[in-house]
Amino acid sequence: MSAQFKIENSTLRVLLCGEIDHHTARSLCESIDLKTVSVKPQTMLLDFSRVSFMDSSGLAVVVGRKRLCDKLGIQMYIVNISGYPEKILRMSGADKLVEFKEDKNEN
Amino acid sequence: MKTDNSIKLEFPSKSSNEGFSRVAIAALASQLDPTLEQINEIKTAVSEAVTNAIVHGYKDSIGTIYITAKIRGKKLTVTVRDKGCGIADIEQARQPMFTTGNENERSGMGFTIMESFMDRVRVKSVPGGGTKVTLEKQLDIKQ
Ligand SMILES: Nc1ncnc2c1ncn2[C@@H]1O[C@H](COP(=O)(O)OP(=O)(O)OP(=O)(O)O)[C@@H](O)[C@H]1O
Ligand SMILES: [Mg+2]
Repeated sequence: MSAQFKIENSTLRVLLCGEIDHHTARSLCESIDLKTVSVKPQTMLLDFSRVSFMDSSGLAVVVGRKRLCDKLGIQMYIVNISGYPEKILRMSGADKLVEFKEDKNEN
Repeated sequence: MKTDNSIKLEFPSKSSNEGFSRVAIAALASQLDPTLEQINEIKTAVSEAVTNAIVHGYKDSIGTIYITAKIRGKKLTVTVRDKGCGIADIEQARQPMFTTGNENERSGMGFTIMESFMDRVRVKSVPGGGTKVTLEKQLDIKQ
C-alpha cells in the first residue's frame, strides 16, 4: 500500500494504491496526515481507483481523515470507489459523513 | 465429490500474516469457480476474523492463530481460532459499531461485514480461553 499525492490548484488528490488492512493502515494514515497538514489544501480527494483490497480498516482510514479535514477546514470527497469497498463504507454510514463522487478524468 | 478439499494453517499473530491468510483461503475457494465478487467477500470476511484475533484476541502479545477451511460440495466453511482473551458478551460484540479497540483504528464493523458477506457466521468464545469464528458460504449461487 502506498499513497501518491497530486496537488492541482488548491486540491490535494490522494491516490491510494494497493491493499488497505490493519497491517498497512497506520503508516498510510501517517503519510496522508503529514501531507494534509503541510499542504493545507481547500479540497482533498481520497481516490480509491487503485485499491486492490479493503476491509474495515479502510473505514477507519476514511473516518479519521474526515475528522482531520474537518479540523483544518478542508472539504473532503471520496472519488472512484466501487464494488465491495463502496458497500463496506455505505453499510457503515460513511456515505453520510463524506460525499462520494465519480471522477474519471485523472487516473 | 471430487471437489471436496481442506486445508489447515497455523501462524503467529503478526499483522504481516493478514494478507497471506486471506489469499490462501481465497485460493482454496477458487476451486469452486466463484465470481470475483464472491472471492472478494471471502477475502474480506477472513481478513476481519484474522485481524480480530490479532488486535483483540492477542492484543499486545503474539499467539498462534489456527485456520481451517474446507470445501464440501459447493459450500466453503472457514474457521479462525485464537487462544486469546475471549469475548465476555458475544451478542454485544456482534452489534454494529460496538468496539473495545482504539477508536482511531477500529470502527466496530468487523462482525457486521462478516455477516453481510458470508451466509452464516458463528462465534464461540470463552473469556480467558479464546475465540472461534466459523464462516460459511454457499458458492453455487451466482449473483
Ligand atoms: N478474536 C477476538 N478475541 C477477543 N475479542 C474479540 C475478538 N473478535 C472480536 N472481539 C470483540 O468484539 C468487538 C467487535 O468486533 P468487530 O470486528 O465487529 O469490531 P472491531 O474489531 O472492534 O472494529 P473493526 O472490525 O471495524 O475494525 C471487538 O471490539 C472486540 O471487543
Ligand atoms: Mg474487527
